[in-house]
Amino acid sequence: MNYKIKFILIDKSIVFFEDWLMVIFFSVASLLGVYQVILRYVFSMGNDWVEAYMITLVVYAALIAASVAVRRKVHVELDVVVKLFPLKTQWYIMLCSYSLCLLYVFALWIFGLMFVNQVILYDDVNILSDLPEWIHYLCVPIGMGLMSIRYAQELVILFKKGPMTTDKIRKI
Amino acid sequence: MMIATLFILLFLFLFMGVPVSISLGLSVLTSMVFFADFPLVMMGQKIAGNIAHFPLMAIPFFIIASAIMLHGGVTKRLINLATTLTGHMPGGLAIASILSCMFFATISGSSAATVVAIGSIMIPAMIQANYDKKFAVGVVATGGSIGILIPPSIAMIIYGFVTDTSVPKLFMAGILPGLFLGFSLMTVAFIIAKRRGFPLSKRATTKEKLISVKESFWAILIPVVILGGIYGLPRSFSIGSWEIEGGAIFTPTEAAIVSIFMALFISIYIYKDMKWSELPKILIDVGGSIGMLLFIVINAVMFGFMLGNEGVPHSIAAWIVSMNMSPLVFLLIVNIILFFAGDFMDATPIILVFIPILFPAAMLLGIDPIHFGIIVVVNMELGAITPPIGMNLFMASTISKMPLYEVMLAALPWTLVIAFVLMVITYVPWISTVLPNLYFG
Repeated sequence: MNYKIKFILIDKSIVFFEDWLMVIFFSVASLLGVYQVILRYVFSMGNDWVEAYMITLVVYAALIAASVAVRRKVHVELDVVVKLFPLKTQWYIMLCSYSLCLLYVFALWIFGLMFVNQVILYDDVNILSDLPEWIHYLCVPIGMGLMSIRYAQELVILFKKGPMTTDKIRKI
Repeated sequence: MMIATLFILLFLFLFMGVPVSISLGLSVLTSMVFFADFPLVMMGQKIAGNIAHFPLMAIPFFIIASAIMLHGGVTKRLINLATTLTGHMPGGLAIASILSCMFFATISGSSAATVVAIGSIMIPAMIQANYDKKFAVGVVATGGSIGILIPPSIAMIIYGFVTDTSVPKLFMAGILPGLFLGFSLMTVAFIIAKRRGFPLSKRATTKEKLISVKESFWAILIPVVILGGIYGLPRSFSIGSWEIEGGAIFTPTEAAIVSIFMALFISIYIYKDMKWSELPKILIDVGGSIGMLLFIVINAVMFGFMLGNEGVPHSIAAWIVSMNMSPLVFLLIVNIILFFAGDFMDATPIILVFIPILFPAAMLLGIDPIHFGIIVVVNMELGAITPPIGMNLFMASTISKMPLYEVMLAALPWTLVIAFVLMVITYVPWISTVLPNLYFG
């Protein structure tokens, strides 16, 4: 199997992982939310853990969704200034821009891992969810790791395709 | 020095085409590395912690609910109702578009979602009826902005989160200004259509009107349940031995969750326009937008934290008070600042970055936090239809296949209507405060 096919397979696996985790997390969070509403307003009771679980699931889904947003190029950006430059300069600016994005999410991935490591060392348990605290923060390295892969991909594609306008970059 | 670096880097990154969310976060990270004595590892905690708040959970749930309503035929029936009621008037389809935006605004909290939902049906319909394409696109791009003024509203949820203001009160305060803006836009559409002689549609018969009311009954029930649940009954009362308690039934977040399940039930079992198997695709499609929005929130909260840590909001508030500025002048300055900020940034980062700076000053000058919130939201509407970053313009351009530059021109005359409404809302606080004062006392 050549490298190109391997990369395509890896990419498809990541897409599958991102999309389905996001669907599962949003769906379970919604189900927990409606369960809490029914408990509270129909049976006049409630569980604190439900709210904690729901928030954690949405945060996980949101950080994975931020990576999906990179793949789908829906992150809002201001390109009017970049468009004023000649084609080759636009390409260089976009290369810089994607590199900065990669640098940032990669840094957050490292900080996320470091923080999770610290929390594991303290062995804290969340009062509301009764889950080890690190589970609540594991979403940061997962989400930022996925975003790092996406920005690295974008950067490689942009580099390979050569100079082009920002409009064309967005259509890749 | 640190604050200057923070802002210089922010604008440098923005102008380089770095996404708004990352521009905010990267400028904070760089400033921290060079100037602050803050353990960088805490950024790992902030990323998850900044959105792990129950009130903010309403944002993804409202977005999911409106996507289900769009796919499940709820929006289509609301548009049918609006068209049957107003289609025969001069500019009837344009008026129906604005009315549909107002209906859709009661079930969606986002102006961009409103433009997509209504525009994808009404822009082709207006073009087919020989309306000017620029007029059609301008109407929908502007009408969609009502999405964040009529409750529920994502912008109000974020404002409430930042300023610790009651979201139900903000939602109620948005009703009258939303109606005022909607009717102002309809009046202008009517006048333009009459002057330009746009073709009239056939008046719907009473039977047709009744059918469309019957068909849209379930669609209208959704906002009734959402808003009815958030506000509940004004006071407790009893019928015989049966005691009915007053007050709110749901929080806005719970209302958003309930609206998802109502939308699913209505779309799948009543309208039968959607199947369970389509739900994952809807969630995947809408996921990118949720991720984009919440990643902006994460980074903008970090930016706001940095400003707060350096004491910027309080210094500015103290400076404004020392200038003996009257509230009216202050509000004019706020409108100017937010107008220019709205030209370059999306509503979410503006609220998260600028409001923590401006809000303390507004409170020191005795401005009502609810009134201030509505002014902020109307400014965000103006920002959504002014270039270069106007989300509604991007959405209208995508669905109408009209170049962005032409969409900007098409929306330009309509910005004057919103600017007029903004001035009225700014200087007549009664419009924003009367309903919350009546209801909540």
